[in-house]
This record gives sequence, structure tokens and C-alpha cells, in this order.
Amino acid sequence: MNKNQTNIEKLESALGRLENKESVIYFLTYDTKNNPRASVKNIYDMALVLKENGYNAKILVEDNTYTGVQNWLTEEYLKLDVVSIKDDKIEIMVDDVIVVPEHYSNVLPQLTNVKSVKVILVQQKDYIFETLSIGSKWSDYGFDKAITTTEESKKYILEYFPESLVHIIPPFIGENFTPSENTIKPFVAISCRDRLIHRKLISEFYLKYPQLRWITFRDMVQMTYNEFSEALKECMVSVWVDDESTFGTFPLESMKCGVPIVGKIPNSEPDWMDENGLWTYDINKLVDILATYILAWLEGVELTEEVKDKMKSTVIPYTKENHNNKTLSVFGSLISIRTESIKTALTNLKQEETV
Amino acid sequence: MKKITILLPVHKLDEDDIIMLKNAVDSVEDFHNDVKLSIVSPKKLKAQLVDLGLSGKLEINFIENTTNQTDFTSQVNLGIEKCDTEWFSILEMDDEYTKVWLTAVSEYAHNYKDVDVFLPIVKDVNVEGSFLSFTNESVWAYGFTETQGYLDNEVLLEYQNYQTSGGLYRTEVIKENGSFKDNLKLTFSYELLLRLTHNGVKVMGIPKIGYQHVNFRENSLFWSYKNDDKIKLNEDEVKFWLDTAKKEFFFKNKREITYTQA
Repeated sequence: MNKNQTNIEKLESALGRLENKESVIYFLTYDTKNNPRASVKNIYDMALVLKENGYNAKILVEDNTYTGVQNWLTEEYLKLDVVSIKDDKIEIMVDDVIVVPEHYSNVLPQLTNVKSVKVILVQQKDYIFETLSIGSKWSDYGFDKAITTTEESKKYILEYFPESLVHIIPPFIGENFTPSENTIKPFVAISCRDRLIHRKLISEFYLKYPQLRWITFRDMVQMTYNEFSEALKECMVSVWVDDESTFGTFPLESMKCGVPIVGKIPNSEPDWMDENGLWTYDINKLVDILATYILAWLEGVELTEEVKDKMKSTVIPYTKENHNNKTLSVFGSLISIRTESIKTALTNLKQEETV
Repeated sequence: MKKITILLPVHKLDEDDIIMLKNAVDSVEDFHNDVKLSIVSPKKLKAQLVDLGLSGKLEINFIENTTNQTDFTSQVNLGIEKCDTEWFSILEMDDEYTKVWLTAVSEYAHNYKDVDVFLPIVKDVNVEGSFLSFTNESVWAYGFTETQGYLDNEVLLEYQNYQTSGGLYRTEVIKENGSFKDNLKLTFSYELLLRLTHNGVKVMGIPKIGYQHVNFRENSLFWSYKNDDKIKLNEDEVKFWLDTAKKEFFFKNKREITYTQA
């Protein structure tokens, strides 16, 4: 059998796998060591909806020491197969898709010769250059497609990687985030990427407003997804500081629970940001804004209907249905393009063979 | 049918008292659809109180105290005895409810059916109305009580500073467990809370500022305990009444107590 015939056979077999949805969509995922992370949940959400719709989606991890998500996500996510690069010795085929998160850019050189569909997933645009060799581009390694979560992030990607085809798939805010049916408690849900800022804000608050030392700050970490939503919905207000955030899941989860948000506007303003929270560019003003809100709340002052309506309308686009439809559409299109290119290559090879 | 009676004890009625009384009643005026007001006073003040025309909207019931005991606790106890609504609250003449009080207590009473006493946060102010501190808020401090938001007996044995005026009380439960002991100086409300929590009555804090209390107004009872030479309490006596409250809460009814200097 000559080289052409071998290639024809390979491509026919790839086409068969694509048509039977046997081709694998790999989502490279990092180990959070049992710490819940919205970015990892989003990866699992995409993989899950693909799997539920007949695609062969798998979670790809470094090795078998991967701790998984069973301690913080619900059982349905355990349906997803987890395969490891080192231990399962997987072979990524031409008809497969591999999705690599932006902070894994250091593995791109190793994937240069992989012929699959290669996609970069950008959830934190500030991480894009963290491990990418200085001056290099994703396309140097064959990655010419990207998925991101916001328009703002897409614009940024196109500025530095103009050759990329960029799709937007925003994460969804789970149905478990609903307003509390019980009385709200004098608790503040706090989410700060930087633990130093987290401590500083609480300390400053207690020192500057000693009459409010009895207010509890609820650290929104180390909880399962459902515990998180239950804990959030009984709080009177949320505090959010995450300068590196691209999408901003936490404020949206707060809004969906009807919990007002006091926050520092991140370096890149999320698409949804509007008059739907108590926002400031100046982190030094956060404590005063928070105390003013709490004192007003204690006196029975409610948010205006306008703000409440803004909070509700802000979260409307971030439904599971929209996320699922968008995911299926993007991956469907990636696969269909790959199918067409394999078909074209096959036709060309067959023509060469007959000549 | 109205579910709440506001008990307002009046002991004397001079010019300043009338101004304060009017302010106190004004603070209830907006609640007229849901509460009725019982003003408990010595018999001799009733006519004067009626003549004041305190409210055009509120249903006011004037309760005459025909006994010689016209102190705060005796007047409140009489009001409780005559109370025919599911709940009652106590309003001191120099204090005021805040606008959120009724909404807050109604919401909590509806959501926490097993709770019989609700204590809103009390804003303590000086006679000029400036903020001094909050009271009752500590039940919400993390790790302070056994269940966050609820007052328990163990905590009360160490911390005495809770305000009973402005609270919402289930009438039958207080009648069953006994009301204030009028022979306890200084610590009568403390003893009541100790007794209620000891008897398993659930006492919950409401995290809303529902009541404003003037602290140490000249000639008020607690001011007099500190400053009036005739009834001033020395340190030993303060300690005595605290210790006494801690002994007496096991008993529903008052027992004879005599203070003897150590």
C-alpha cells in the first residue's frame, strides 16, 4: 500500500468517526485540588452538554493524580470520562478536537504536530501571556481558533491574534441561584481573588465601623456548588474584588439571587456591567460604600425597583439553555468545517490516485 | 383583627413627658391598621391622657392602674394581664419605634413560627438624638451564641446588655412563663430574658433597627439609679441585683428579696 492509499484509509476512517460522533472532543483541564473554580465548572458544562447531545466529549488531565470535581459539583458531571495524558497515553487524531485553556499555553509547542482541531479557551484574558513564549502566537502552534466568554475579551484577542477565529460562549448562571424564600441575614458574601485584599477589606470595615463588628463576612470558598448558592442567597449584600476577572460569575450569581453587589470594577469591564450594582473604580471607597449600604439596610431601606429590575434583566442572557445552544452551535460548526476539509482532502487524494 | 398590642406605661405627666409621649405615640401612628395601643397609667392621669387627643387613627385603650405600684414593671405587667392580642410590645415613653419595625416583626413572626420573642436592634441615642450604640445586635455576631441570631441562656449569664422594650412577645407564652418581677431593681428585664431562655422559649434577634432608645435621660429610671442620691445604687448593689437575677430566673413568680450591704 502506497502513502496515498494509507492516507486515504486514515481519512476515511476519520470521516467515519466524525459521522458516527466517535471523534473525541478533549477539554484540557487543570486540577483544582478540590477547590471550586468557576472556570473549571464552565469547562465541565461545555463538555457535559456536548456529551448529552451525543458527542464524545472527555476531560483531559495531566495524570492520574487528578482529584476531580466530585467534591464540589453535582453527580451529573461524573458522567464525563476523564483521561490522562501520561497514564492513558491518548492519541489525538485528525478528527478530534482539543480545547486548551489559556493558562496552559506552555503545552502548545508539544501540540504543534497534532493535526486535530485546536482551540484555545480564554476565560481569563490576563492569563493569555502568562505561559506563552514571549513574542509567539497561538497560530505558531496550529491554534487558529479561540473560544472566549465576552465581547470585550474577543476584541482583545483579535487585537493581538488577528488570525484567530473567535467564538463567544458565555458561562451560565445555574438555576440553583434564586432569591431566598426566607428572611435575609446580616451576612456579607465576600469574593476577592487576592486574599490580602480580602483580609484588608474586612479589617478596615471592622476598624472604621466598630458598631458593625457583629456583621458576618462569609468567605465564599471551599463550598460545593449547591452550598455556595444556598450560602449566597441568605446574604444581605455581596462584595466582589477581582481585577483580573474577564466574565465575573460571582456578581451575576449574586444578582440572580437578588443580592445587591458592592464591587470594584475590574481592569476589563465585563459586558454586563451597568447600573446593576454599587460599582467603583476606587478600591479605597469600597468599605464606605459597603457600610453605607449596610446601615441603610438595617434601617429598612430597600434597593429601588429600577436597580432590582436591572439586576434581573442583567442575568437573563446567562441561562443554561443559551449556553447549551451556543456550545452546540460552536462545536457543531468546528466539527462540520473539519468534516468538510477532510472530505475535500479525501477527494483530492482520490483524484491523485486515479491520475 | 389586630394582632399586636403596644403597651405604653405612663407614670407621670409633666410638660416634658407630654412632648416625649406624643413622639412615642407618633411613632406608632403609621401602624394603626395592625396594632392597638394600651396606655397604662395611674388612675389620676387617665383624664389628662384622654384629653391630650394623642391620635386620630390609633385604637387606644386606657388602662387604669388603681394600685399603689405605678413603677414601670408594674404598669407593663398590668398591660400584659389585660392584653387580648396574640402579640404585644413595650414602648417606653421617651422612646420611638422606627418605620421598619412593623414590617420587620411581621415578617419574622410569619417566617419563624417557633419563636415567641423577637428583639429588634435598638439604636441607643443621647438626649440630643445622636447615635451612641446598638443593643441586641450581638446575637448576630458569628460564634457568639449557640445559634447565630438567637439569644441563649448561657450567653445571657455572661452578657446582660439586652433591651426588652421594642421587642415582640407572644402574649400567652409570657403569661405562662410570668412577666416582669417588680421587686427586682435594675435587672428586671435581664431576669425575664434569663427565665424565658431557661424555660426553652426561643428568643430571636431581628437584624433591623426597629426601636430607638434614649439612654440615660435625666430623671429616667436608669439615670436615677446612677445619679439620684435618693435611689442611687452603689457598685455592690449593682452586683447584688445582677446576682439576684441569676438566682431568681428559675422561679416564675417573684420572691421576697432584701438587699443587705455586704
